Amino acid sequence: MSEKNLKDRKNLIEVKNLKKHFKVGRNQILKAVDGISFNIREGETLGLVGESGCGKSTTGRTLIRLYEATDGDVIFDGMNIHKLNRKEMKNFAKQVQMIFQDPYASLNPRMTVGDIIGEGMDIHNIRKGKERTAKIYELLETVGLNREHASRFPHEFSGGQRQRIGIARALSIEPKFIVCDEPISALDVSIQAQVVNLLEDLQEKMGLTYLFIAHDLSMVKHISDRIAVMYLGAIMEITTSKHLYEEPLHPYTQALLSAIPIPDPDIERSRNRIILEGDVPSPINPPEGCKFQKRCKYAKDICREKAPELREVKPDHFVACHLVK
Amino acid sequence: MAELSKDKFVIEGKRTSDAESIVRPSLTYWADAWRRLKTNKMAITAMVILIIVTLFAIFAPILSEFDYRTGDLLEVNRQPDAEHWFGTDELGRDLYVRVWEGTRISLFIGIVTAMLNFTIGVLYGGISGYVGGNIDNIMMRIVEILFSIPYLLWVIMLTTVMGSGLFTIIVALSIAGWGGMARLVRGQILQIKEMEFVMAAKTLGADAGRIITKHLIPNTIGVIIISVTFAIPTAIFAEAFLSFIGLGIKVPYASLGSLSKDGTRMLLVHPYQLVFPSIVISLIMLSFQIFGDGLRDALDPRLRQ
Repeated sequence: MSEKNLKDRKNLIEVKNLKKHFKVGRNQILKAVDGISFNIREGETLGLVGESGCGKSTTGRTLIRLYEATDGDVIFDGMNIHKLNRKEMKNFAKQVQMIFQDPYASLNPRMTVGDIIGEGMDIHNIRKGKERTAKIYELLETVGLNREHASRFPHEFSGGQRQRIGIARALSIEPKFIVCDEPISALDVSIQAQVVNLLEDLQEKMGLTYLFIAHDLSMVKHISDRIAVMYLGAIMEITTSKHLYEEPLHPYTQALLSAIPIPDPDIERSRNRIILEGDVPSPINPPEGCKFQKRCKYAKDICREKAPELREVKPDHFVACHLVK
Repeated sequence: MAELSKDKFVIEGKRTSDAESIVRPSLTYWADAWRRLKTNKMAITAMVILIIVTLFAIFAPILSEFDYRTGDLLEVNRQPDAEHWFGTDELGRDLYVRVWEGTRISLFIGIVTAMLNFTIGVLYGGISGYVGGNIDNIMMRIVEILFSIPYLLWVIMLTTVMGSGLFTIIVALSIAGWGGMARLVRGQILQIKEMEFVMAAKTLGADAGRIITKHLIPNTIGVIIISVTFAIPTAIFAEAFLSFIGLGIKVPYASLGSLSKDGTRMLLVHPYQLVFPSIVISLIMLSFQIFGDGLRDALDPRLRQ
């Protein structure tokens, strides 16, 4: 992707110490998201990566208040989202949208594609009658489908086509910000590129801002301007995708990046992969201090005692690690 | 082999618009279900039988010259003949009219009870599943407590309070029956409300009313209809059983159960008095079961085994 000059852009979203805890059972609390802070600038794509179960999707959903936050603030365009009343929420819903992971579960099987795409317009009374139909046709063509598809039902489409219907639905109310919750991980590789390219084109055309959640690092590198690495509900490192891939500072990021296979058998054979010991600890009883200390080979006493804060160690390069100077 | 030269070929270009087109005709959920149901011969036969039985129940008593409650004491216990097609009973009442009158009442009980179960169950289960949390917990415990009392006990209690009759039976069967529907609906709603398309609707700003009417109910309605189809024969049979043991419909009214009860007393002398009501009730039960099975296959192909 062409280098955008992002430094001067203003923040569209500021997340401050966001927490989302779920009650599990009687006295246990699952800390899915445990105090994360970051910002997303207007027009950029922030990639959010991490293992399964590290709280990526919960972050995305809490960000747009699909879940109520346990603590912390999300400031969108000057509004504190978790303090909005019902009417303001409806207005806020016009500005943010979400694209979901499973294209088979994200479309109502009993509605026609036209009604699925038109639902946002119906809810907000934006367009009616002929205007609505015209907009639906326009959106279908934007995402590379035919206008005849409007009267069809979701089960008649393939996974990639369904994901494009989901994108058309998200675009229908002309949002500023879209949370893409692993939009490509359920698709096969040839279709992944198609969907990612579509998302990039749309961003350029409409000036959209994305939060792109994924676990496929190579795809995230391709689409993101900056990348945040998450582990067990906390952010470990945030920087531009260039920096992250060229000089990852956090031990966890280094391990993650070393897992990407290199398409050259000679290098692939000779390089050293960093293999992490053990499993991700349970978010119900996360370890004391740094969340990563149990699996970190550099861990020292301070790591076991105190949780590191996210510090800017280089321009636009934030790391949460005691050992990075 | 013929010579292949370049001038024999024309570059047509590619038609990208065709690549995404779908050939299959577009069908709504109901059209698709009907298409599947039509291929099931057993289910269609059962449906036709049910329609015929219903038509007889509605029109036979009206069109007949006899009356279900007036007996002719000169015509007691007559064998079936050209005048009395199903014969007469021990009071000289025409059994043809009484059987269809009884079918009418049995079907009425079945349908009204099923509708009551449906209404209460969908509302109760829907609220319980949608709201969730502690309210769901309390609501479901109440269902369990109500359910732990057998329906026979309800009937006996209500008969003591309200006197036996049509109304008492319907109330008793509904009290004992709506819990199953409520649980079914709650389970479905719990499952569907976590699905991503509901979340997508919330993201678009949809309120609870819209989510329930546009997303949750259309996706549970198939299962609910199937359940109602099975609830009707269950209620009919429960009523027949109650009438048979004398807790049901009171004379001079008749239901298929009370007719069977009267018939058993005459079994050795006049077997036809039991045969006709039994045939009709068996036909209804069998047809509802087969039709319900067919409907389930048609509406929810995932459940087919």
